[in-house]
Order: sequence, then structure tokens, then C-alpha cells
Amino acid sequence: MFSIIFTVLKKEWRDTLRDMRSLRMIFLMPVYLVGVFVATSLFAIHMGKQSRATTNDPIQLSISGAENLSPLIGWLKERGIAITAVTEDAYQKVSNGDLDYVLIIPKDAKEKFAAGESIELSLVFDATNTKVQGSLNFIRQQIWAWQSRIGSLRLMSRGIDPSISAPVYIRDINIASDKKMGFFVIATVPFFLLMASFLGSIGFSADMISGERERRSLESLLITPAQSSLILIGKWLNTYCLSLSVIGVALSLLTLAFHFIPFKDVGIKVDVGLKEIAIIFLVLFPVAIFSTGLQFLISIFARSFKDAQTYMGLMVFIPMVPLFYTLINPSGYEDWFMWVPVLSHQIVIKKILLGEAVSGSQLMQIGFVSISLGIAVLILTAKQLRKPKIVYGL
Amino acid sequence: MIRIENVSKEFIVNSSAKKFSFKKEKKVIRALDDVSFEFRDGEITGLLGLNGAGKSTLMRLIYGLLVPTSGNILVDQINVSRDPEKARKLLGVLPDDAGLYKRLTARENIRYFGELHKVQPEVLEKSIDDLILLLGMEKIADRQAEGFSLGERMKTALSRAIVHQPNNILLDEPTNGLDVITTRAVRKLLQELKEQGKSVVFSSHLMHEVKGLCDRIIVIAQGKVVAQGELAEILEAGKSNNLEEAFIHLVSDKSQSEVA
Repeated sequence: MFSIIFTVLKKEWRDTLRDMRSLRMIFLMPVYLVGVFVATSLFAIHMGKQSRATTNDPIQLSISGAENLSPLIGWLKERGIAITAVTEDAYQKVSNGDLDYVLIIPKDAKEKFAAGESIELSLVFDATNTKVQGSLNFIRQQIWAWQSRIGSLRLMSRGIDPSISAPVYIRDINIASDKKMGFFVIATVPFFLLMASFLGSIGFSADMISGERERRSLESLLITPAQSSLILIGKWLNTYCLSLSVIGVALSLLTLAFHFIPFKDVGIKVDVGLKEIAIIFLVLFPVAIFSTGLQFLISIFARSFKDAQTYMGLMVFIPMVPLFYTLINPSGYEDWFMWVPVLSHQIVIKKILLGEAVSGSQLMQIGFVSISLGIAVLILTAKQLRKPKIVYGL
Repeated sequence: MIRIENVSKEFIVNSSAKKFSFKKEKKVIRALDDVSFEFRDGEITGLLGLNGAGKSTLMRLIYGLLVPTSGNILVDQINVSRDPEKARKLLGVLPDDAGLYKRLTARENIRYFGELHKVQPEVLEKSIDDLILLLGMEKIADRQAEGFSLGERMKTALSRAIVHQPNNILLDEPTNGLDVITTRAVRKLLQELKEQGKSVVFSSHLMHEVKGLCDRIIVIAQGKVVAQGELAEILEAGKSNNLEEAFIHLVSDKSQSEVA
């Protein structure tokens, strides 16, 4: 029994190792995926640094007609905004791009303020210039704050409770901790890893059955007395090992990435050490049993090698569904999720990356689900192998 | 020895003219119709028939990748339907248009099949060397099969089929497209196998080859055996002293009677 598995495995390895081009190609994917991850993280960190820079430096505001509404100017200065005065052609300067934004106070402001009338202030900016949005929001908030203060004072001077004009107010309380912020950066990691385990070896598994049928060596192979299941296990072990090595490469590159990307610079704590990586591997190796089994099942039913690759390409959607679900509904969780392969893996890997505890029984549970599914699809494939429909397409 | 007892094989095919109609008409095609004969040990049996006569179907039934609709096939007393694995052990088959593993060398291709048949390593290496010598494959033995010529491919596939020294050998058009020297090597091999007391069956379209090589001939037309026996008996049945003429008479008689 083992001699047949070993014979098939040995032959498939020899075949695989002589196909250096395809072999190189499969390791391109983890490199590419981790590359994308590194680029995204560095971009996020860069953006984070930029928004910090604007909050540390005083916000600049150019005002035309500042002398017309000195109480507001005084308030804005008090709030730490650096004011510079500009002349009449302020609007022109913004449209020419000399200034990012400008506040225009009309000439009649002084009189209207004294009389208690509404004053129209113009905030001139270019909405397509996204980098000034933060500063503009801050300036707006300060003007609103000043307006409600002045409004309240005016109401009080007339003997009216100012709260009558403010039925509700909102207090923002952001509970996102540093670690949770890290979620946004590393939410894509489980997806990348599941992609690597689902797509890592598709070329090879397509070749194992539909490729062999296309080259007309399948019939000769099946005329030997070797049992279908043993032939299949031998072939599958080869693909499975390839899949594991793709996952291994992806995880090693990821470990390096986590080590070198300065997540601390933006206050994100990512505690991913060798222990976490090892646990992630424990999560992923049963997935690979399922995914390679599924590839074999597709490969056996496909009419040609090309057909098989097309269908297997669609497998990319399997890891995508839970990714989108967790992006749309990051805190959604039901107990039955743990029984759904891929979704449960996505959740567990995310937990590990965010430094949350994952129990051994949970690992066993999700491992059990994918291993039994994997075995089920392999048995189904083995049962098909010698059917006339598969061998001759009858 | 292979015995075919009252074997029929039917295929059900969709014969609806309209591709997208929901109601698919099923049509039964009888590829083999109650055939009985045997391939004896120590004889070379030639299987003659036009394209589509049922030769390949018959071979596929013998090695158990197709299952007969009715009847029994016995390979050395083993019923193929009941114990296909055991039957396959006793068979060496060169299927029609067999492909090699092109990244393996000729020797590795042959050895792989020997190992799948669980041949003892020492016996296997000896057997491989003998076949390489017999078929004159020394130059290609350790070259990867990628880029092999038709003859080189055929010789490798043939060696692979019989490396485990089976008692019953089925060859589907083994000399198809081979040059004179290679054909001679194959013929020599078949003679040798016969002398070892094995049952050798081969299908061919070349009348002179069948005539020169076969002890017995079986002519199949439209899924039925129309004549079987030694060359003289076939000639008599085909009412001619030339095998080609006799063969044409036999298969065209059959199709005429079918029409009538």
C-alpha cells in the first residue's frame, strides 16, 4: 500500500522538480502578496505620519478683512490658529493656487455684529485638494464654537436659556485602542494567507489529472493494478507539500515584514512573533488539505487542463467572501462561524494577529472541519478516477 | 489466456439535434453485440476491423476501464468485472495513442510502471535492461521523453506496458506509423513473447503484418465477430485467397446484411 503511494509521490516529485519554470511561478505569488501588504502598510504609515504633522504644527489661516470682525480673530488665535492677513484679491489667490484656502470677512461685518445680525463669512477652498481637509474641519469647528458662544451670550443677555437653541449635542468618544487601529492595517493578512493556500498550487493540481488525461498518459496509468485511492494520495501529497511550501514562504516573508515595518511609528502595536506565526501555520495546514482536495476534484471533472485552470481561478472568490464580510461587519460574530471553513480561519488568524487569545479547542475545531472536508473531497475524487466518463469522457 | 463470453456493450448517447433543447433524446449504440472467443496462450492473435468496429472498446473492456453491459471476461480465470485489480496484474496493455511523462527519461517512464506493478527492484532493472536492448533503445534510455520521435515514444510505451512480464499482452496498433527498422524490432519482440508462452493480442490495419505474424485472426465488424480462426479459415470465410480481399468481403457482407 505505502509502496504504491511512495512510488507515485517519488515520480511526481521528480516531475515537479524538473519543471523549474512552473515551480518558480508558484513562489511568485507569496512574494507578490507580501509585497502588496508591505506597500499598503508603508502607505498607511506614511498617511498616518502626515495627518499627525498637521495636528502638531499650528494651522495656518489667511483672512481677508480681519479687522472687520476682531472678536472672532481673537478667538481663533486663542485656539492656536496662526492668522495672516491678505488683501482683497484673496479669492483669486486660491483659484491660482497661491493659497490653499482663505476666510473672507465682509466689510459690513463690524456693523452687523454690533447690531446682532447674521454675517456671511466665505471660506474659499479647492475641494479637490484633500490634504487641507483636516485643517478646514478644524477651522470650521472653531468658527461654529465661537458662533454658539456668541449666540448663547446674546440669548442670555435677553434673559433666555441658551440651551433652548441646542436641543441636542454630540460628544464623540472614540474607544479605538492602538491595537484595534492595527486591525485596519492587518485585516488583509488572513486574506493573503488564505489566497496563498487556495491558489498556491493550482497549476500543479490541474496538471495531475486533467493534464495527464490531455497528454494521454492517464489511461496507461489506470491500466496498472494500483488502487485509485493510492494513486490519488501519492499525487495529492505532492501538491499538498507544494501548497505547504507556498504557505511557508508566505509566512516567512510576512514575519520579516512584521519585523521591519515600523508599525510603532503610528502607535499600532503588532505583536507577531515566531509563536504567532507557528500558530497561524497550525491554522493553515488543514485549510491546505481542503483546498488541494478541492483542486483535485475540479481537476478530475474538468474537460481539459485549460478548463481546470479556469475553474480553479474562480476559487479566488472563496477567501474573498469572508474578507468582504469582515470588512463590512468587523465586529459581527456568531458561534456558528467557527464551523464554516475559511470564514473561521479568517477570524482566528485575525485574532492571533491582534494578540487575542485563541483556545486550543478552537484550533482543533476549525482544523477538524477542514480536514474532514478535505478527506471527503479526496474520497469523492478517488471514486471518480476510474469511471469511463473521467477516463474517456463518455 | 483471455476468454470473452457473450459480451455486449451498449453506450447511451444524447442524440438530440437541437443543442439547447431540454428534452434530450437518448440513443443506444451497440458497440459490441454478443461476442465470444478466446485469446490463447502461446499464440499471437490479430484483431482486424474497420475504424469504429469495436476493437478499442473490446480492449477497454478487457482491462476493466469499461464495464460490459452483459457477458463475462476472464483473464487467466479471473473475472474482470469482479476483480479488476487482480486481472490488471495479469495484463500488459499498450493503449491506442499512449502518452509518456515527458520530463522523465525513457528508463524512468518504464521503471515507474514496473514499480506500480510492484515488480521486485532487481527483477525490474533486469527487465528494463532487456527491453532496452531488445528494442534498440540504448541511445534514448536516459534522455527525457520531451521531443521523442513517434517511434521512440512507441518503443518506450511498449516497454512500459510489458515491463512486469505479464502473461497476457494487448497492443492497440503497436506498429502504427513506425519505420521499417522499428517495426521489425516490435515484430521480433512479439515473436519472442509468443515463444515464452504468452498470449499476445494486437490490432492492426496492416494486412501483410497480420498475415505474417498471427497464428489466429479475429475479424470484427459492427460490434460482431464475423470470422475467426487461422489464416486459411479467414480466407475461406472471405471467399478469397488474399487476406485483404477476404477482409473486405467479410466486413462489407456484414454491413449489407445490416442494411437489409
